[in-house]
Amino acid sequence: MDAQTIIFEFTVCTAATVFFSLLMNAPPKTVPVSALVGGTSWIIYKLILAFGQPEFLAYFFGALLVAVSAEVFARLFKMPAPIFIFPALIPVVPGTRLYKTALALVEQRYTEFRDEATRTLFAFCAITVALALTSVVARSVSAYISERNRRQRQKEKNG
Amino acid sequence: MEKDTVLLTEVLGLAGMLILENGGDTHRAEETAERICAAAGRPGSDVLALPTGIMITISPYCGKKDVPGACVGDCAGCARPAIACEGAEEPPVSLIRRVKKRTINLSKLERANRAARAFTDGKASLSETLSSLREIDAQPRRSIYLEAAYSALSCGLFSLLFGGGWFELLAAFVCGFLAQIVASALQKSSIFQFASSFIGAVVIASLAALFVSFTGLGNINIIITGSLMNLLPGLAMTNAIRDTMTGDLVSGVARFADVLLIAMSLAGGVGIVLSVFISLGGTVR
Repeated sequence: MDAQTIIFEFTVCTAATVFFSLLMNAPPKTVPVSALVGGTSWIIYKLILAFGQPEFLAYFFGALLVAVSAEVFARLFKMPAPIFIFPALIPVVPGTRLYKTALALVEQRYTEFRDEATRTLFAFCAITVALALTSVVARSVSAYISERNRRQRQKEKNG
Repeated sequence: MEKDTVLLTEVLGLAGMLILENGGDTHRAEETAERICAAAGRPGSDVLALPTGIMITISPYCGKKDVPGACVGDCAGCARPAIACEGAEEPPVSLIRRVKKRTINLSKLERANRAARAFTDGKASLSETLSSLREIDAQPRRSIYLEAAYSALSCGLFSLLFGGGWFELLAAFVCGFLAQIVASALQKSSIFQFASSFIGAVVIASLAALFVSFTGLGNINIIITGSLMNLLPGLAMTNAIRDTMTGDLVSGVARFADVLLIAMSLAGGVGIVLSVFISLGGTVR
């Protein structure tokens, strides 16, 4: 992957995500943020593939970037995290894989169908794991922070 | 006081419904409702949200918890109130709201969340919150053609991203436009998600097959994958995971089934059209 391809794909993917978040009627000020996150996650996905790493990792890290930045922006913008996740996740959802699975079945290439179905399933698993992991960590961190704040307030009250 | 309870129930039902209808997860609906209850001084109330509906019970609350010796009931200091606290002067109120349409409208989700937050922060009264929630609920749908245009543009750009050229971009643009119009029409007639993704996939695949076979140009794979992006179950998947992670097992499993159903109906719709296309002598490169 050369620099030109990266810039081209980043631009196209960002623009596509802009229209996708407009389709979901996202609040206007979140649109540029989700679009940039979507574009970046696509580039990360492609770069990991370009370095010859397994597809599972590419989906995992693409989704991880979306999930982590969504949790960060959710706290910055004081909005629910899904508002940032939904539009930005779309580029890494394995639509192409799903299509190839259906195509292999239609063309009666059953060995390829089995391969593609497994890959699609694993891609969904990778995204699931990334989202789940981030959501668990985010919840525990915010629970810890609110607990600490509460204790501090109690201490100030007592002392 | 009686009126207050009814008002509170109304607010909880509407807030929960708005969140569930517009793409929120059940945990968010429950958490929002619980926060509103706590802010309204009804901490023992219970809310159960499912993807298909929300159930609320506002327990009566004597308000004498902090007065020593005044609590006459056996509700253990209101930690887990009985259905009728003996000190309370009113009956419990419960409400079930059915969520029939599940669309994605992040603006409405965000505004409902903000309205609920304004109440819990003490910036709005109960009746103000109710009227602002009603205003959000009554917000009209955007024009179908505008949504179709957004869908068309994003589909076209995705097909460019998947290695397409100008022809693929234009074809995916048309496919995305018509698929979105069909999806909106189906939503209006309240046909289920399954039918709308299946028919959307059929529309996309048949249009792509028509384009390719009539012009002899372009790559059908790229056109279809680009146009399918809008129908993929990304939102359902996110919500399924979030619901499962918070222990809402029923909602989590239901939403995972939703993801599988959408994915299978997309694959099935594309598959049926393509097998007809191939048996009529078309080639899929």
